[in-house]
Amino acid sequence: MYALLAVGLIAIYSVRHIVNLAQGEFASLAGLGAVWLISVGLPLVVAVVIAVVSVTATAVLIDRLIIARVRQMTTLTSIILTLGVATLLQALMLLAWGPTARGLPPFPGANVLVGGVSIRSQEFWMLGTLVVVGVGIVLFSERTRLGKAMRAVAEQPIAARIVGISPVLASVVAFGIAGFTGALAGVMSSPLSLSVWSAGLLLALKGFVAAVLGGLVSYRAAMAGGLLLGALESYVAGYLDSGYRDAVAFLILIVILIVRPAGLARRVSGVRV
Amino acid sequence: MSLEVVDAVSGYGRLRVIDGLSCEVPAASIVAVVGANGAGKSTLLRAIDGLIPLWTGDIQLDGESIAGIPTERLVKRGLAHVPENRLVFPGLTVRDNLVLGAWSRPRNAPLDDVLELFPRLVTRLGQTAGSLSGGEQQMLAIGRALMSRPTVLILDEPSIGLAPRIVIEIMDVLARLRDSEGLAILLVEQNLSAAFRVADRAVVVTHGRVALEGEPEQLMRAPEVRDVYFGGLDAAAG
Amino acid sequence: MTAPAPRLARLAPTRRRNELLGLGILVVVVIALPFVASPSVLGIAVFAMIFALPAIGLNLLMGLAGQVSLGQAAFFAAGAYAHAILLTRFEIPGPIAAAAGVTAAMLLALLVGVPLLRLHGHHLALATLGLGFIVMILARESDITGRNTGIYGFSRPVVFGVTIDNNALFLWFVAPAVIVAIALAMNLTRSRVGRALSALNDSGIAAESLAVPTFRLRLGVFVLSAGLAGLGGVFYAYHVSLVSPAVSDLHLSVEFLLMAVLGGLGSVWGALLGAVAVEWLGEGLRDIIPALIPGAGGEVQLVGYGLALVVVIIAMPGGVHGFALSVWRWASGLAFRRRGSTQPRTTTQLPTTSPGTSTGAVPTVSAPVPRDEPVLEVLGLTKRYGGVTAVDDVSFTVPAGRIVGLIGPNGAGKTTCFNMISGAISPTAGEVRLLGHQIAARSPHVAAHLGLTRTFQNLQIFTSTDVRGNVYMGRYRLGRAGFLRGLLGLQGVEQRRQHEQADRILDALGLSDVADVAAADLPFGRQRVMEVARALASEPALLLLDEPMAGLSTAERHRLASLLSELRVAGLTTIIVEHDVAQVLALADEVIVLDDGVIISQGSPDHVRHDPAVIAAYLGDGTTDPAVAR
Repeated sequence: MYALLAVGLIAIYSVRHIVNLAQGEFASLAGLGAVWLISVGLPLVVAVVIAVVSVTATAVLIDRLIIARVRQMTTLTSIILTLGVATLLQALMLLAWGPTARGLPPFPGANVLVGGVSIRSQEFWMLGTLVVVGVGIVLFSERTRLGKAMRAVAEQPIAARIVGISPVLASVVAFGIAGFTGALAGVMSSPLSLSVWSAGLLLALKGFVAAVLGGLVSYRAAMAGGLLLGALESYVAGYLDSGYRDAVAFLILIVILIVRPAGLARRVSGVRV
Repeated sequence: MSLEVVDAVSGYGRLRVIDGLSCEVPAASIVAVVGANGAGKSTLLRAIDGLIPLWTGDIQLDGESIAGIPTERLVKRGLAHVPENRLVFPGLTVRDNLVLGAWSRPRNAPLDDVLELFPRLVTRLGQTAGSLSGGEQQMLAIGRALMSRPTVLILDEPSIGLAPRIVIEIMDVLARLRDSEGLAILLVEQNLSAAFRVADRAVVVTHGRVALEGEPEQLMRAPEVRDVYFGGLDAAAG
Repeated sequence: MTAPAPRLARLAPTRRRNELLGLGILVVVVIALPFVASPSVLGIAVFAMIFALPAIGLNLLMGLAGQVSLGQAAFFAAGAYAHAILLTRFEIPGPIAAAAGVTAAMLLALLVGVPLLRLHGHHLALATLGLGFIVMILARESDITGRNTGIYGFSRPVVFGVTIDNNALFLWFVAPAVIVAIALAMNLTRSRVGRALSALNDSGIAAESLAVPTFRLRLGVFVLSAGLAGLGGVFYAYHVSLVSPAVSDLHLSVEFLLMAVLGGLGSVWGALLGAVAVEWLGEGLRDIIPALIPGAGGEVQLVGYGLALVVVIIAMPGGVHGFALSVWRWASGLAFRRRGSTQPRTTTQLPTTSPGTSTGAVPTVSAPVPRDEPVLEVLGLTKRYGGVTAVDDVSFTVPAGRIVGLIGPNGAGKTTCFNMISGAISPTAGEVRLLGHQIAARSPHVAAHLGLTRTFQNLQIFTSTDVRGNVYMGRYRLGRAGFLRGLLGLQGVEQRRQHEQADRILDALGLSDVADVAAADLPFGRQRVMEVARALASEPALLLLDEPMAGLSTAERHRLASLLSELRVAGLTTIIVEHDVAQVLALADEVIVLDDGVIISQGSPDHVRHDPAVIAAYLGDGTTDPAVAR
């Protein structure tokens, strides 16, 4: 799940140099939204699809209606702005659906026994989604014209404009990707870890840890980082009190930021004139 | 298509860099804009390509004003810009860089023609642009600009940091483009002899205005040109 | 949307009067409030006061020093918990426990600050966010903090025999702390350290080049901010009599952030205004929303907070304080117009680019070695980026009291050389010795402390203050007052001396007529001159000028050149990187020519002038006939 969130964070950061603190809200929003859609009678698949699509659209709207309005985006303003958006979304979710945590029903499938450990079907779903999305985003970024254009905007924004790539398009696509992956993360994990109005910032932070492991540029490294983070958390939860589980992420984050801000990614070779 | 700059005034913040600059680049010709650093040459190109706003004055393509049109839309109109420092996309391959050059006009992108102009790039198609040498990157940047089938080409100091041999190669390519494609080429250069090698006309800019204008042979001999650079130096090489 | 007014717009003592007035008004309001306000308003006022303390801390951290912290609640909690634990578990008397609480918060800040403050921007913000979470988890999980229940049941504070058990008394209890905090913060803002913080927010490299130890100062303000938060926590504990993990919640950090931003980062008063506004807003929302939306419960006021954050950034970046200030200016502008007198500060009335007259006095320089002895030794300086060698084995010596020119065509590596000498970048190989000390690869403020100072090709002026303020910053390395003296305002004598010196330098460079103009409003040419004035204010031994002539009119160039000559006579050593070759050849004692990262010529101006290698480098290979290409 962290891996998916990381993908979204990187998409936005590489194009706009903004860390989207509202990334986690996309997940909660999709999860809670889907739960509500089911409660009004829609079948699981339809609810999930509608939730994911609408959250993606919301993300793009946020970009165009809010983020685009700021003329001079400094680090400070971008942090405060996305924090404000996150808080606003959280509060709206609270008002709409109340404070209780809810979960989607588990997706169809059977649990499997592997080496004495029972792996729930939902975890397969999550892993599967991650694989599909992961392959998808890498293919998109490296094989498709649009994906390459996005990378171009990230690497040389001026030259990208000169060549005719519209910065508005790049921003919309970036936010769209962020909304999409965030929403997927939300619905896929909802049966297991439940969706609740207040979890967004914590999730965004963990997604950020994974993204930092990717140096904030590399999808592959970030996804690997996300998986690593998830694994570490489960491992720690086995030994220490589960309450300390969340602390693991932050300690890792702090250590990484200080020691090796480029993360696990190899640096892109740029020749300096 | 021709390019015309009419009394352009622009700059950064409060600093006025170009101050009433006019020049004309007819189709099938190369006009060199030369001058010392800080004279406003790069600023002129940025203003033409919409990267900085034009305060007063006008920029025209074939008589039609393009001032105020955002940069990303100018390619479709046939204006291509090879920027200062090349600005290739370092993490993308040479092929990708070229393909992206055709972003606005993806149909019938002249990839083969471009590769014919710059044979050095053929063997490097799969390499990342960041690993190319300076000269190869310059060729790539020009090639990328050509992929959109422009009718007007503006280049910002392509000879910087390049070996003389490569500079000559590049200048010859520009001459070919003028002759066979009829491109209107605006070439900003600090390297006088390189620019004058291929230019039909030359414009000398100081302090944001045109100081001298004429044919390269005449200007080359004019003591004022030396003055512009060295301010009272003996013309020891002339 | 225009940017908010510069925070330290004027380096003048008249601000004091307004500040004292403001404090006076606050005192009156606090004393009178319990008699005139309803109980609910009083309740809000108390919380506003308590939370104003962490908000003031955040205001200093973000507004003055430009550092984002999303974990202010962590220090708030540290103060609250430490205080509560000492009171209940160890039965330590109130004042000592309170002091311990504040100290705990500051120690925590020191501990995490040393590693964390190596980060900037996003990374710092998210690291502090993580810190907040860690503290919350620790609070929730450890026994000593009472886990989820927290700590409760401590007795009311007793001051001079009076038990503080109602809102009115509590207001009078906490208000002095807030008033003192505001006064101290205002002192700090005006002080040497405060101005240095503002400067490092405007331009870190420029501040470093003036010997400002940026890391140390950032750590200092971080710890101070934490201390204020801790104090707030102590008061909170007393007031609510319950300390639970909610005290370290992220939402509280967001609330503090909102207070600082909504109130306005431009002035310390913004923190108080913001605290009042947010508490009042929160209370109102908590009443209204459940009425509008039945069944709504919990932290409903967050809707308002989130909306407020977004709206403030988009529409009102200066916050309430900034807004009030612009209304005031507009109103006083109207008043002036009605009276017929000219407006006090308009850009149309700025002097034109012709420089003002100077008194002819030359700024003081330091000359630690006799003339012609080496001041700077550069040995084998090299810089490689990946496969490209920007500077290749450059060596030269700069003799004292001389002007050395560094020229070369575009891309020759001049600025890279310069940056390596001044410490802005580290060399791949080679040494740089200033007055015998190794300065290569060390932080720029080290070299600055030894007397090296520089100007910047891309101007790095301090936009938050006026011209006099910029030049004053140049005096930093000659001052001594630190945080403590800054807070207490105990540096009047030193400040006055520095102001006088700054004024003298402004005179010498013909900037006296614009001394009170905001630096960002100055015409470009005069901004350049101001940067030189700022550099000279530090009484340097070695001055590095990076393309100082660019953008100057001919008259200004001549003035600068003659000033440099006079400084040379006074013993200043100068290295100047320039494209205006004529000017350099006329001025310099020695010229070094770079091309493609190597020295191609070196010697007297005459020698370089006639050197064919130099001419070839600039004009290209003159042997190619243009006619051949056709």
